Amino acid sequence: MEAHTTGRFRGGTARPASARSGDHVIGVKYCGGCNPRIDRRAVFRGLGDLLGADRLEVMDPERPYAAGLLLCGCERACADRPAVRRRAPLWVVVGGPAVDGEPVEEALLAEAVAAKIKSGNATPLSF
Amino acid sequence: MALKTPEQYEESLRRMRFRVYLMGERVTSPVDHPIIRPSMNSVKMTYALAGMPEHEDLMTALSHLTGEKINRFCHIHQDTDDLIKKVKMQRLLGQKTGACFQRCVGMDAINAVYSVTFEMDRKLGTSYHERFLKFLRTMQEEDWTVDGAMTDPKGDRGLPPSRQADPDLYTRVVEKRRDGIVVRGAKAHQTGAVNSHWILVMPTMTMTAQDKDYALAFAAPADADGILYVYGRQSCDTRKLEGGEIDVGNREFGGHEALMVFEDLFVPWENVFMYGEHEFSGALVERFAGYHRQSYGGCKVGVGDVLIGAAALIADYNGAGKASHIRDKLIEMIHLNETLYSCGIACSAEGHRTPSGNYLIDLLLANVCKQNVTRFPYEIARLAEDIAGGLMVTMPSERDLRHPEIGKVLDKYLRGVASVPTEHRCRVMRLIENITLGTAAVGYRTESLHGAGSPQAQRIMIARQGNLEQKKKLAKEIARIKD
Repeated sequence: MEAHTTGRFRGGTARPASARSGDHVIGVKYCGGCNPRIDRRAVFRGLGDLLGADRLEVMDPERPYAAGLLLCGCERACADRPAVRRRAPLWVVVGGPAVDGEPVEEALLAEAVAAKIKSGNATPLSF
Repeated sequence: MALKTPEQYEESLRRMRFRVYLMGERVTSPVDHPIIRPSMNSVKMTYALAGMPEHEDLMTALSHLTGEKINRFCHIHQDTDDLIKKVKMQRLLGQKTGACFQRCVGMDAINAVYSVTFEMDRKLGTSYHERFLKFLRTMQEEDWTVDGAMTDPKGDRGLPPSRQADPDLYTRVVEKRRDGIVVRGAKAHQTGAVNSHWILVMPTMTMTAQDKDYALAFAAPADADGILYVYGRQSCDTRKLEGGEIDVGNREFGGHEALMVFEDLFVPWENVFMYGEHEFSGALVERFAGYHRQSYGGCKVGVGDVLIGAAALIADYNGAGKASHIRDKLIEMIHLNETLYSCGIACSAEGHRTPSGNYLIDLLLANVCKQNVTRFPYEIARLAEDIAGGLMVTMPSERDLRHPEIGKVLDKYLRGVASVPTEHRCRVMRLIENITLGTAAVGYRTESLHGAGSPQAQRIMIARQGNLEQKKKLAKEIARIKD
């Protein structure tokens, strides 16, 4: 996976400074899971199957990531905060049965996230 | 060590030397006692979830004292987001345990003592806040479970503390020494006391000048010499001694309360946070109660989620899941449960900063939250029992189900939907029984009524905070009344 300043995972050469380390690894940040409408761990596992388990890790606040995945149990996506977003330049947000606000059946969430990552349609940092 | 593992928590309790009595016998190892252990498991879950990536966003926070990651139960709320996360964390824990997880009282106590000691020092020139910060820092570093202890036995409710026939019915100072104070009295209904590392004692109500010996706040190790615990009975508690897992309803988790008695407990000055400053006792009580009334908008909702799920399951197992009146009852249960949650979130979102810097909930909304909690869980429980059917209370025992001859008869006649094993049906029935009238009903029903203050206590606060005069003005304006 590559990232560049236009907000695409692929297709560019210039990478942000934060992507110099671990640029193939997607940092995953979970919400707290108070009343989840989806099985967030199942999405994580499914995504690992599709992309390779070594491409995903629970976000370490001390290291930079080329891309981040917010795995939130409902549309509120309460973990979507500026301090979290600053840890990566590109993001995909799962908020309940939706990816970046678009409704997706729960069983297809991992597939939709993987497709988004592979096609480079992640959302640039906007905070 | 800012975060203990669940195993470290259990081991730390095992090293403590509580003086606990249960059903007339001294308990040598509370952690291993079959009646007590499920309650320990519930507190242990607060440590387990804090170590899980999919829950840490709610379960942990950064200490404003050290910048370290700490368990949210040891945290001082820094903004309204912290207050909201607290409620969400409590709902999560209620869902995971189906019981009272006990650790909220300490969190609510530290937040109340934090702001009140700050204001005392500012007005009186005392140094209670500094002392308290030292305690708080260690609590956070050691990831202690702290029992916030407020409710005195209170004896004759028509008399103030100093006029009781027995002066010990309110916790008081009986001796002042150069190095500390000696405390006598008791605290009733102490949630999670025997699963706690320390206790944080507060006055039970607003004290007047004549009762200043009772205006007292302090911390002490929960197993200090001079503290005796008598463990509270719960409905159906001895089922835990039978060794099975169906009849207990919830084998892993539970809650507990105990009578905590101070038999001339010595407390060094460094752990005393209020000593006779009666004019601040009301604020301390009001803030602790406010935080705790907010708490119920989270924890009871989580247990309610489990109960609603159990009711829906038993409806399916009974073959009644598609009946319109059953579906409507489930909708009503969800409506009531989410109304409680809405109150918990609302009083948090409307919180405000105190002079000390921590955040306090909106007291009116927190009291409205708790007032609803005194009612709605009863209705949710009634609807769950309605959906479950009478078998919930007439079902034979687990031993009968396991019996080589009788078991076959029961398997045949207690079956609902043919594809669902009879045992599954029995397990869900027992879970509903556990929450509505078994051991967990202590937390879900009567604690909902009396915990964090009985209904009248909230009505007094609602009257005080309700801004009725402003409402009269509004009516006069609309009605074009000119005085």
